[in-house]
Amino acid sequence: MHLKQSAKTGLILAAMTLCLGACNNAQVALPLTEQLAGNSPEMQLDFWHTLATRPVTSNDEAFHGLILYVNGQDNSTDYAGRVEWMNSQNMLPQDFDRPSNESVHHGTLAVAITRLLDIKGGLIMRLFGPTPRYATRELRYMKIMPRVSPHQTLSGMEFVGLIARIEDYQRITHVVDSDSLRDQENSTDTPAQEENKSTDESMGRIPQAAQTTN
Amino acid sequence: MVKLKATYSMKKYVIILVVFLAMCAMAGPAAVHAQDDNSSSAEVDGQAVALKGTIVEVGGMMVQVRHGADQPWLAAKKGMELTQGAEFRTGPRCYVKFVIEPNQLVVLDRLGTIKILEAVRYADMNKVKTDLGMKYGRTRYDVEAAGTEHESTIYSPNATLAVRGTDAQIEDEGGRPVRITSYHGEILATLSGFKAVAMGKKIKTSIDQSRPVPADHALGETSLNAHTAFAGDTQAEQELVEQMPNMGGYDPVMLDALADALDVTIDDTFGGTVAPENSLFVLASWEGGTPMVTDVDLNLHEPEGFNLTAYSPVSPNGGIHNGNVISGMTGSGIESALYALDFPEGSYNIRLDLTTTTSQAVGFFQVVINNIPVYTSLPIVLNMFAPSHSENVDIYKPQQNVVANQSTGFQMMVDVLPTQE
Repeated sequence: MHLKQSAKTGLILAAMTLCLGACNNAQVALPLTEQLAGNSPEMQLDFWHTLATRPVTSNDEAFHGLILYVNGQDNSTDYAGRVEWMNSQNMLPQDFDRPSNESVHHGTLAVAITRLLDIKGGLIMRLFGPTPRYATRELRYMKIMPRVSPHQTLSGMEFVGLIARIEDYQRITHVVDSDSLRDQENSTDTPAQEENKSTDESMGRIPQAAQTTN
Repeated sequence: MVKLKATYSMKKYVIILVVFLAMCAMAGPAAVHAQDDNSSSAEVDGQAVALKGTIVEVGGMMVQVRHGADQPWLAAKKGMELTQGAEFRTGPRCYVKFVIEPNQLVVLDRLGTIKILEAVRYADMNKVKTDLGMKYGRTRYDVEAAGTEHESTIYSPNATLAVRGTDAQIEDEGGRPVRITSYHGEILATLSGFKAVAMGKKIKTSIDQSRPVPADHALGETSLNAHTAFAGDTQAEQELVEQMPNMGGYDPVMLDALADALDVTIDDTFGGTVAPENSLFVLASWEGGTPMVTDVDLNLHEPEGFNLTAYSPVSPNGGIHNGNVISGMTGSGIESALYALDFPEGSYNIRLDLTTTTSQAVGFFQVVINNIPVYTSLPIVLNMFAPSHSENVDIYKPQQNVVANQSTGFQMMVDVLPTQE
């Protein structure tokens, strides 16, 4: 009888342990920031294009990428420095305390992106600020993010694609609450009008932030 | 002596032959080297001549090029010459434009990579063939097909864009569907998992993986949906809005009517209003009666004892009889009873009475639950000898099962109705 009970308890504990393991976030064993955190153009290119081949993006890599994109350089020497910089720009959720090598969540990035792009959002976002849930919903609505949940992580390729999407958004004069966005809700890509502008401009002229090297 | 002379003469020929062969062997590698050194415009095989490329514009500080997989990355500069195997990569807020002779303009936008896999001209066929491989990013390709046939292809992991003298763009990036656009001119677009589509010509057309047909894509981009993104429309509902613009959107009742009228199933639609979950409709119909005379009554005896007739037309259980009807000008008529929101379960006694015994009629009745017929009687002959016909029918509410639509993954409730035995 005792043996039976012990076996049952053991099984339950084993199942719980398995469940706990399954609920863990993916970890990145060797974040790129350890080797490719430099600010030179060559190092930055190596970072972006190596990241695109990685199956998971860590918090550290994502923050480094965002800082590079925003500032053109990342002077932080470690993850704590990056988190501090992001916090100073109000680009992180209030209670953010995730480790550096843990896979980054869409919700975390969504908060940073809404701050970066100065997206005000709807009533809830205006009242309570950009929480991961509502920031993600807003970016989905604006077609910057795909149909994902705030807790979903993303691959390196998806992160690079997201940065490209942010750049597309920044290249154009974008009225956030415009009807044209709603009209294009069925489309899975940028609204046609904006997409035209974006691609045409990108092909035809140099973006403001870029300089021509001859 | 004669023999000796002959041997000497042979030796001389052998030496000449050896010297000639040695000269040939030395000249061979030199020719090969010459070809390698001049590979940008040299003959690659029989008639194909490799084409030269040149960088014409660099936007931003982070654009690099390498001339082969084993070569180092170099900062891209205007005027740099390119050969087959050259590869580009760009950073954020950067782009690069390069021209492959004679007139092919390629633009790689931000955060992308592209490689010139092949760029050759077949002089005898007056044809230029260009193959580019894009791992990810956005590339626009523009060529004027003036007098030369172009066979240009851009390959990406999820799509292939074949161009024959046009202006087109391919976009393959993480987190969004691959998109191919023709600005002008005809292209052949192949998305992974779909058949090749010939598209474009004089107007801009696009396709992507979620809308692999140009017309669908254009419709999706031009349709107006009064619901906002926060309305939570399903994909099927959004498509209905696109496909029925003259109806100003959709409505569950209208969808129901359409489904009935067209005898089709419209999956994955959820109404904004509550649709009846348990409706019971009993229909009695007859024909062959005397016009304006023959009267057949439908009587419904509920399991709980109430008798729903034309003269007691409202049941305490929610049933409504449509009233007494006599035959029309054709001798036929219909009476019915409806429980719109709910109905008592159990054995119903359904009876047809011919009240005008001077005439006759042939009728039937049908039991319909949630718009699905579950029981239909055999033809019933009513005349003065058999003026009544009744049957007991067991009527129960459908069991609802949650099933997932295989194509979309949406969960929906499906009625499992008893079948007619």
